[in-house]
Amino acid sequence: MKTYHLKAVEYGGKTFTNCSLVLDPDARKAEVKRPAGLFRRESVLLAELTWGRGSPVQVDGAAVRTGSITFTADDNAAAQEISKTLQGEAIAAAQLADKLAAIRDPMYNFLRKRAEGIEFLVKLKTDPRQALVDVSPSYAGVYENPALEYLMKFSSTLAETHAKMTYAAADVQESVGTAAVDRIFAFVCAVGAFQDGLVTGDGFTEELGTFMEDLRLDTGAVPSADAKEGTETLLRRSGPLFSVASSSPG
Amino acid sequence: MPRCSNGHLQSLGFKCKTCGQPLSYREATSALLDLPSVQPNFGKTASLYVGMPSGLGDGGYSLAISPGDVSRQTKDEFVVPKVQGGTWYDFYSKSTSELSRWLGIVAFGESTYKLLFADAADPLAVLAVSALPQLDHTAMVAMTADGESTPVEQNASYVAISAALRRGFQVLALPRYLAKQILSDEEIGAPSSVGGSFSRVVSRLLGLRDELMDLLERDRHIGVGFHLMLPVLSGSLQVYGKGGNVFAVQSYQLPKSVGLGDVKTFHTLVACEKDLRTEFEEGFSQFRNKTVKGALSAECRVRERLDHGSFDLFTLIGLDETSILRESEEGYKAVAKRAPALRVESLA
Repeated sequence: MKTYHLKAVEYGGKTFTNCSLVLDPDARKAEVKRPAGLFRRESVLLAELTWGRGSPVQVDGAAVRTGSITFTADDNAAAQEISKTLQGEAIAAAQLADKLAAIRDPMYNFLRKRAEGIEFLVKLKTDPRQALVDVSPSYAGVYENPALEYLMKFSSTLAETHAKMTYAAADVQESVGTAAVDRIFAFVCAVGAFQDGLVTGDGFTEELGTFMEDLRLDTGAVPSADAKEGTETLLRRSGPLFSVASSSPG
Repeated sequence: MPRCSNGHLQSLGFKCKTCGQPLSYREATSALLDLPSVQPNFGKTASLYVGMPSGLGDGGYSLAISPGDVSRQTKDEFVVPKVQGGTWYDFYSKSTSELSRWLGIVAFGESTYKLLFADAADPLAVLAVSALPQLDHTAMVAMTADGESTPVEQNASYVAISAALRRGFQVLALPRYLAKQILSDEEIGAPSSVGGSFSRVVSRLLGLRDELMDLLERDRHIGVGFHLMLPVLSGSLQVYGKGGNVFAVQSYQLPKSVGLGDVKTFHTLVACEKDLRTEFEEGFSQFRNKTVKGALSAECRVRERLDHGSFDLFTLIGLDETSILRESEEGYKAVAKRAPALRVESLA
């Protein structure tokens, strides 16, 4: 709930001074109140508005006009804020953030699962026999060696998590827009490239930092020795991708 | 990695560096379903140890097989549940498939050289031989039972060596009496048992494994799969006088059942300082021309090292397979007669 002081309100052919505008985000209602009398403290309801309907709102300096009512705010900034709220932008942003959040968990699951596979490959490279022994408890002998069997099972699970992520993105894309989804997928690819770099040994730190900066995310150093730890660090930085839905990349 | 609408594959970014079109990451995430490929390096040598400490010398990967109260399998250890009064047959019949499986899991066969070091009289030796994958460049280096061993030990040793030869592995045998002799020859830091003496031989031999495996492979091509090993550890020419004398002394170390006329191939591996190279090469050549001229193949290989004064020398005598088995045949038969399960024929 937020209350703005209004210098004046023109409504029904009359002008009222020293009014107030109460915006209630939960109820998505706005109330215009005027003083009950010249020397009385209490106020009475002058008009009730519903916001976010897309009705035209015009701003002219400190004046805001919508429908048959005109407010004069204390200053231009307050007028802009009131205008945006009444146009439903704040609600839209909140709604978009809610929708984008539906991609977050599937994305986390996909990248975390992939980190498991990357960790296995790193071990397979540095201490191959221990890597094989580590996955041997689940070895059923279906494939010729435990590494192959592990990777076959892993691929199947990874594909499932990937499908869930893309389905979640497809579900919300229409409402949130291609740019916001693509930005999330760009982040996924960046984390994937970071993970691959742990196996291939390709230096990726600088490129990752630059790209994270482009995505407007934290560019701090990532612990590069451990796939799971590095992935978690990057995931913790992904918050802005889900809260600034309207921002575009680059 | 992303592509633009014109199909240009790009690194991370938002616009195509080729045509300036925006990049799409939607399809790029599918590429993350493929993990980077890895070619694991399993090393040059994998060694299996039975009845002796593992991880000797520069042996690469090693796996020890030993008996214990509870079955346990790790990268470095395969513990077989104890069998009260167990013979080689008990361990063989109960654990071969499990050990085979474990050797597969640890990719034992992926190393270039596969070596089994064993006291052949140990009841677990037959198990180890039977579980090893049948692959090229596989050799068993064994301390074999001799006339002084008990019939039960001779039986186990006979079966282990027979099994290794039947499975096509190269066999390099150090008769137990020679291991004892090394024990008595040691002056400094002497091992306290015959087993310890064998371990020391193995440790030094591993330093020459490339030369060893090359010679064994070459002999295999001319049908010689069995070798007797006559080692000299930390030898000194102050004792032998000259290089040729080492071979002369070794000719008296051959088992009674083996004559110089039985020698099919004759090789020597030496690790010594640079100055001794010629000494051994000439001594080898003279001995070979004089004593084992009938050998199908003979070669002396010297690896120079920095140690001054002492040398390690391994003479490998290629023989017909039956030669060494004769040493333990009597004991083998005596036991097999009373216990039919303890025959070579019991092996699958």
